[in-house]
Amino acid sequence: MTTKTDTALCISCGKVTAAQLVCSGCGVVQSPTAEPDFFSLFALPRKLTINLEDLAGRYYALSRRLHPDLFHDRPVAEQVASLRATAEVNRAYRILKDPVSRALYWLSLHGESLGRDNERVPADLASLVFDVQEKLEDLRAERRKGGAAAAESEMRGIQGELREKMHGFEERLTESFTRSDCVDGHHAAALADTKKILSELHYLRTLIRDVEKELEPQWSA
Amino acid sequence: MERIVGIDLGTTNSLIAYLDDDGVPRVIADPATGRTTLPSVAAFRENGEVVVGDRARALAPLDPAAVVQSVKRFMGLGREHVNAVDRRRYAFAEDGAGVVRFHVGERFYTPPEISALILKELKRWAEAAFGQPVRKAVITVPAYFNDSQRQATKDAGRLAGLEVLRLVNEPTAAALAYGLDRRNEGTVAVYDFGGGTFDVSILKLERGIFEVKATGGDTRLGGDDIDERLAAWLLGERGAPAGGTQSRAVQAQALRAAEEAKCRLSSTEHTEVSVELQDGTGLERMLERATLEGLIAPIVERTIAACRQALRDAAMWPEEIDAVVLVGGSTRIPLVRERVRALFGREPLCDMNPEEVVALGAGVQAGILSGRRKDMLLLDVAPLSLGIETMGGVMTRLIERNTTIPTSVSETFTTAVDNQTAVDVHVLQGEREIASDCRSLARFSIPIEPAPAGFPRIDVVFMIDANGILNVTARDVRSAKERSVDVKPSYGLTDAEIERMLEESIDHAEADVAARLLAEARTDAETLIRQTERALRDESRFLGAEEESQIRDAIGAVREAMEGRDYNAIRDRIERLNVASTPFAQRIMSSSIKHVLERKTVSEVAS
Repeated sequence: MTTKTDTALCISCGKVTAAQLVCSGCGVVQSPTAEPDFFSLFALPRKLTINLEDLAGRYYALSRRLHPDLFHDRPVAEQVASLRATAEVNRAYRILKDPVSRALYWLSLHGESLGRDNERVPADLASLVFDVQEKLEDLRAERRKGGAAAAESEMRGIQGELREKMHGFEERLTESFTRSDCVDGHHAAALADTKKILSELHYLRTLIRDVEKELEPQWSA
Repeated sequence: MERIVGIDLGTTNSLIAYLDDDGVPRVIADPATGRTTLPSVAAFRENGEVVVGDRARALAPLDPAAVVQSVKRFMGLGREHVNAVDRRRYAFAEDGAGVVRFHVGERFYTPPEISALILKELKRWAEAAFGQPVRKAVITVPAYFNDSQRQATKDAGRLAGLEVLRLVNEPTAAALAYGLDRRNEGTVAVYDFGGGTFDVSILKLERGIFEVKATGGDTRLGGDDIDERLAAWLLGERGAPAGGTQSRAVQAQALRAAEEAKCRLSSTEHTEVSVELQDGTGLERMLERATLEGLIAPIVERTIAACRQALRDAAMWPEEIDAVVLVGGSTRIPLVRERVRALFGREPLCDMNPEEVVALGAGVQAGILSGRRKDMLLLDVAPLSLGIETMGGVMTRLIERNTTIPTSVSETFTTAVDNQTAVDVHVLQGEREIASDCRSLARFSIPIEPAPAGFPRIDVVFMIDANGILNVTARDVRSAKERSVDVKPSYGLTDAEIERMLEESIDHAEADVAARLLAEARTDAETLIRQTERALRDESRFLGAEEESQIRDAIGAVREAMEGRDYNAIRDRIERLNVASTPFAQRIMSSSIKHVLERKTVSEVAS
């Protein structure tokens, strides 16, 4: 994915405005261009490391200018632009605030992806995954027999351990971000490390979701 | 500045509020009674009269077939969603599929039409308070309402003559009212257990921004279910299976008794309940609070499970929540408070009136939209995942639940067969993996130019707006032509249906006005005849010989016109009677004035 630096005409004053959400000439809200760079929407450099509090502050400030609630008595063109711009900012915020989705997005900006590696169980996690899946199968079997209180409480313990483990991985990911940022993503070793942790974290999340789904079945459709 | 109102359209009661000039939200009372809550009940009487609120509610035990209550539970539902309990309480149109229709008397009513009657009454209260018409409103909905339920609420507003500027989720509205005071910052859980629905939302309040982190709930779980269980238990005591054999009137009475007993048990440990059965015998029971708690524990546990899910979605532990706010009448139940306290490990807040807080929050949001509160902004989420049906009947998610709205996602579609002329898309909402387990929102067809399979590329954008309502646009990538997509709601009203209902209600309104004018003309005619006849009898000394017969003829003419329904004719004859009797009336008048003057003079002299 490449960022487009194409220009557009302001919906209000008609002057050329850079690919931003607010016209530099008259200050009127604009629809986002087809593929805006999420980092640049928040006026941030393309770095993996992000201060979440700072990001939230930028997100709130943008929302206060763009949100559709502020446009209901404005012309329809502005209402539509506000809706589209807010939807885009919300999407950008959602992707950037989560370290895993942020890293995947960052990789895509650099023409990289986790590729086929992501489809295999990461070697370091293989035994853990196997273990948890087996316990989940036990729990289901106990349930079929009726009454699975013991198996359930064991699974809750596993859930807690997995969450702890995930936090550890998230910290490692942050550290690897710092290393990758220092070399600006061009150092193969740093990048490979980031990708490996990402892949593991991704797997861990799926595993936690499986466990949680088993523990708390949906109460309604 | 035009006033925008905020409306809490509840299952049991509805309220209307606004933000005053000092930025304080206030509820508006019924100008006639001073009450601020309107029971969400409508009744259709045999004489064609439609009543809402307390008067309709009072009719429920007497004439249950004429009364519709808890209509909110049916908003946006299809006929196949109506269950056995519902069928015991109401008669429905049974033909075919589509929107639920209540069968009352000779007519059928959709849930939005009934809700519109309640909205119109509230609108009238506000118009009386402001002394000017009200056209724009914010209406609250349960956070867990799906797209069809939201659409239905918007339709109800439109039918009531209101432009619905925004639908606000109820727990979020409660948080707006709670967080108006800036001292209340941090992370808040709102536990909203009302008459028919349960919602839980977790929000971050920071410098005027209200960011919803996660929401969850059940749109068919509320105080009504508690009443149903208790009523079934009461009737079941006599060996009847869960109220199945009792008449509707007995069931309505048992429900009312159950509801009242439930309320009493929030402040006492035991209470007496009595229901009169079909065979005329009375049923009297002593009910312990513990018995009630045993009956409703499974319902309360479902709400606690929803809270745990919301916490997980927000990626938070219970102890990270700074405050728990209770909303909705069902939170008065001690067991509910106890379980909420146990989950969050802190005393829940209930210093705000749980019945009013949602309406007050709607009033705040109305104020934000009208520009009265520029410092506050609400960032809400989509409560349910949105997706499409893909190969093998699987639900493929495009937007995950708890995504901040507005949000959009685009998907590219192509064809599987050569020379296809259209691509069919089935939009789903829900958390289940299988398409048929999710709620069907809409099906639409995108027309395309015939081409070999896999050649066409159509980008479809699914946009969820700030109301949580889905909008779809499609673009043919090769021709770069925008195509408007005709999204047919699976369980909604079409624009044409709404137009027809609006026209009908205008027709009715005209008929209503004519009936009122006729009634008024007849009353005026009666009054005038009575007064004139009394004068003819008592003041005959002022009458000329021919005058009397002229006046009596004119009275006869008025009586004749009163037989008919033409109020203009009645007014016309009234006028002629007035002309005929004016000289007579003037003579009486001047004599009585003279009389008064004479007496006055005497009394003045006397003093």
